[in-house]
Amino acid sequence: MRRRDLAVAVSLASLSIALGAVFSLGGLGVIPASDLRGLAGSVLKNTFNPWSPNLTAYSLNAVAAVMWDYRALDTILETAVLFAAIAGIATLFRGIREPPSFRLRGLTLVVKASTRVVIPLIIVAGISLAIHGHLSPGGGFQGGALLAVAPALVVTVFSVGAIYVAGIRARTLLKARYLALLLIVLTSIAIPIAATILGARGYVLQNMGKADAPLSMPAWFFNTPLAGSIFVFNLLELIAVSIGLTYCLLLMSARMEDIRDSLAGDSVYE
Amino acid sequence: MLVPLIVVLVFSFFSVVATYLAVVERDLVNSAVFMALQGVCYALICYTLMAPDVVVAYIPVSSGLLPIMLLAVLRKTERYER
Amino acid sequence: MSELPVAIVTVVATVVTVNVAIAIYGIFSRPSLIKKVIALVLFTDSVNILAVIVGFRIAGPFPSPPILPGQPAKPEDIGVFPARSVDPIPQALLVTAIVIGLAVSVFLLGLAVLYYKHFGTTDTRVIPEVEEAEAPK
Repeated sequence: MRRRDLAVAVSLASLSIALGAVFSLGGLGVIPASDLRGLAGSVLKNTFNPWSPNLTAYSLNAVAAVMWDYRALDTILETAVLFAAIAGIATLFRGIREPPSFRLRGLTLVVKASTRVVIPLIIVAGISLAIHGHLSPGGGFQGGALLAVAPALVVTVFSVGAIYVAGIRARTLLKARYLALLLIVLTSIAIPIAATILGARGYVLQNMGKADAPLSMPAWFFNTPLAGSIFVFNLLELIAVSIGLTYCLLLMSARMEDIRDSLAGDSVYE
Repeated sequence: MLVPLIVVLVFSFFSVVATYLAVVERDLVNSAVFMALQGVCYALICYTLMAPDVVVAYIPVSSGLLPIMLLAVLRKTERYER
Repeated sequence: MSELPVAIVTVVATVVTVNVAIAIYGIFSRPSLIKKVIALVLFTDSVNILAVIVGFRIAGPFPSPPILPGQPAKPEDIGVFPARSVDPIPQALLVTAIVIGLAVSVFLLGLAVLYYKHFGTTDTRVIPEVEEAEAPK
């Protein structure tokens, strides 16, 4: 990092801060709104409202309610985009040779000892973020991303061989992820199927009972609000996202001589 | 009410410095470290703007997963630009 | 006392716009493939902060995040929450945007590794010449 680059960066930063301060003189500038939009007001009023049981989602976290109950189709499509990216990576890295079991040296003893203390903490924090997703800030994707940092640390500090020695192969990870995604689809169509069997009405991705569709997912766990399908979706998304990101990490940590050149035409399928 | 303003001023200053140095730097490992620093500054700004779900989703992605994958890719391709 | 939230939001909006400009400059002007991916990640993150600003609002002494602190006891307690809280819908769309940005970046990094294996370089000024040299087969 040369001194000239640092000087240019500091002067650019000072210029932008000074511009921002000048723009906000006299109370003008980017003025945020003072009252809520109608849709946001309705979402906030109904996200935990035991006195209007047809509209509520029984979740104290309004953002999780919007993500998995009021606009659940957006989140299903976002899971589909992540699925498409992982399918693309699986296609690019096809024909990869996974080494039987080798173990490199890794980093020094001090780093290894302190990583052994930190990794269980990361795993517990990630799972707790996903389970408490409807009561506090958190949710499925947040917990899954945090849980995927633990294998990333293992690969960095102990070398990739530590994961292969433990018996984990990339193909089994992909099969486990397909199972979690299948369970997500089954949860979203569970209520229509159960309602058709019992002779009532049911909607796809339905969480709580509506006026004309009386079946609903469980809403209370003794005394704690358990927001029905939001809780189930959070757990399944935790499993799916953490396994998917670990799979990408394992593929990208392979050695260069194990990767086959799949851009060279049909030479892979011999 | 003065503390959020000071936090926002200091960390947006650092975020511009980190972004410029990440783009201009020739050694790509230093560039990955500046990207992680910029992620931390943005997470603190988001926390001041009352968005805790975004903070918890953004910190593992930008300061944990992407720099580690970038380091794994740089080990296989060229480390220095040009 | 509503000058302080206006000042916070204006400073953040200006700084984020400058970051967007630096990131777009980085995408166009640097020749390495991986530097382009880094600049794309910076650009996506800066645009996401602009979406957080859309959801912000001025309320009471200071606004509150969109999470209920405890279960409300009476029906009248429900009205306190929408009077103080910021908008939750842009934050939900933002988590989706972060996931999609991560998916695109990871895919581009995998593609960069295969480009290096096939062409032998990640310099975008050199790759067209290598492509022309192996085109007539």
